[in-house]
Amino acid sequence: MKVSFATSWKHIRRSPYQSLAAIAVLTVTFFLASVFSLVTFGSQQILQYFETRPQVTAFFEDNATPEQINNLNADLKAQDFVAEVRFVSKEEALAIYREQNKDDPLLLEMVTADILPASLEVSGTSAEVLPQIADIMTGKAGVEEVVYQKDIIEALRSWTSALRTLGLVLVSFLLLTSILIIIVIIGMKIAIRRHEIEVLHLLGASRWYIRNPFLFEGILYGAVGAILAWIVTYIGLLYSTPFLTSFLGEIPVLPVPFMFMLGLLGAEILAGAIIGSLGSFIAVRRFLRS
Amino acid sequence: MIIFDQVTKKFGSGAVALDNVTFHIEPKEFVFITGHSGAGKTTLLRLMLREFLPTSGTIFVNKTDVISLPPDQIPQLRRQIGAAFQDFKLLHDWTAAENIGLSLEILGQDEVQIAERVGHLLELVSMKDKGDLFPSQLSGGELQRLVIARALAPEPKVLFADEPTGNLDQKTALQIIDLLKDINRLGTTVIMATHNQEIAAQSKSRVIDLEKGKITKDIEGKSKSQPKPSKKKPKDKNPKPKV
Repeated sequence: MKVSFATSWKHIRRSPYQSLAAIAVLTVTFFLASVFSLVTFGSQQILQYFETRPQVTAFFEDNATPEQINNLNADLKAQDFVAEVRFVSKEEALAIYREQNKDDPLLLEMVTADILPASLEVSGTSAEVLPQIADIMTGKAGVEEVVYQKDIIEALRSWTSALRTLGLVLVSFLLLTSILIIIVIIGMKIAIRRHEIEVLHLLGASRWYIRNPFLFEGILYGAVGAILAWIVTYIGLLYSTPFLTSFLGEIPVLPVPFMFMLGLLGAEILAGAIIGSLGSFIAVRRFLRS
Repeated sequence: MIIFDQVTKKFGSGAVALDNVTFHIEPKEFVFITGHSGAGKTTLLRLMLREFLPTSGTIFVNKTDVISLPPDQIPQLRRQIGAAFQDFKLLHDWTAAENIGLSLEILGQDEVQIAERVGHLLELVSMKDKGDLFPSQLSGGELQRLVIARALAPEPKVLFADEPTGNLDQKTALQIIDLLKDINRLGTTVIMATHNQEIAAQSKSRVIDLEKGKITKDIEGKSKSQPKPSKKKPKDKNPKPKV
């Protein structure tokens, strides 16, 4: 084993540019795999955030009576798929508006409690029940408009799914390319060492004594490519975290848990080792027939 | 020890390299295989190493049936035969010591064992101070001695030297033969293939002459090589001589 590793290292040192090319391709592959993993993780978190806050809001007309509001409130609370009903008065709506626009005095000057509608914010037990809640409230006396996040969730879900599919296709394509590149590079190295391999055969070297260094070389390319890609991704993620945090607002996606990144590193090293060994195994089978 | 029984080897082109060749070589024998270029001398070595199979006949090396040997056991067979190839088959970007050590590395020996054995072998072939040189820095005679040292590294029972004096001057050729004789005296069976009939005739050893793949003569040696008497009294009754 030690001899095989030493021989692998000798092979890499003697033709470093081929080795660097293999590692570079694998780094790009795993970098994209990391980015898509993070995007999928993030979009999943965003989707979950919206799904766990299934909310329908009914805005009341200015002349809606407290009785109409109470009746609707009671109707909703009687439903088992309604989790919570919260009344937001005109004054509370103004307070929320002021809080959201506290940095823009111009917007604050023009708005008073009278022009903001009172509303009922209704949370459902899941995203699927939102249309039922909306049906109950729509057309009721005093209700002016009913809005809910059905469209947002559906759009997010289809985006997440499309991103995941795109990532899978792209990464699969790159993985295939990486395997082919490893086959070509290891094949070239075997061709360069044909004389050495012939001598080893004649001196009584076992098949695995000859093959192992090439297999280890492939595994090393995969593992090093995965580690480099992970480092680049993590640095990029940490660098862009402040910007992404302000962009995402209160949606709790960032910072990405360190355990998730550690898991990603482990999975990528494993995948790299599998890809590297697969590529070099095919090359060895193809070019080392004794 | 080595048995070739009615061995014929025809190549795909139809050329007959060996034609119904039969001979036995006993342990510790010194045998010359003589013949012109293309007589089939190297084919004998390549058949012994199972580089390819004969068209017909049987071959035994150290009681191993070479022909029916499963492919995964070919390395074990090759480790029993020290082969000094006509074209050397040295690794040119490895030093002399590394080339010798390669045979031992294959056997899984550790660095200390390898260094010790390589030092001993370099001394045996009178190249103690040449271990760090690359093959391109060595003379023809030194290359030949290096190949012999590498062949002897795993302590094989048989050494096959293929044209070890081919490109050497008379003096150096005789030095190589003396070295092979010394190795034989220490207990290793030596087979030396050569086109030089004169060298073989002078040595008083057994000579098998090949012509166009057929044995034309098999002359028994006038004196069988025996281990040189040691000046010191051996500790063991039957000490194993170490090459």
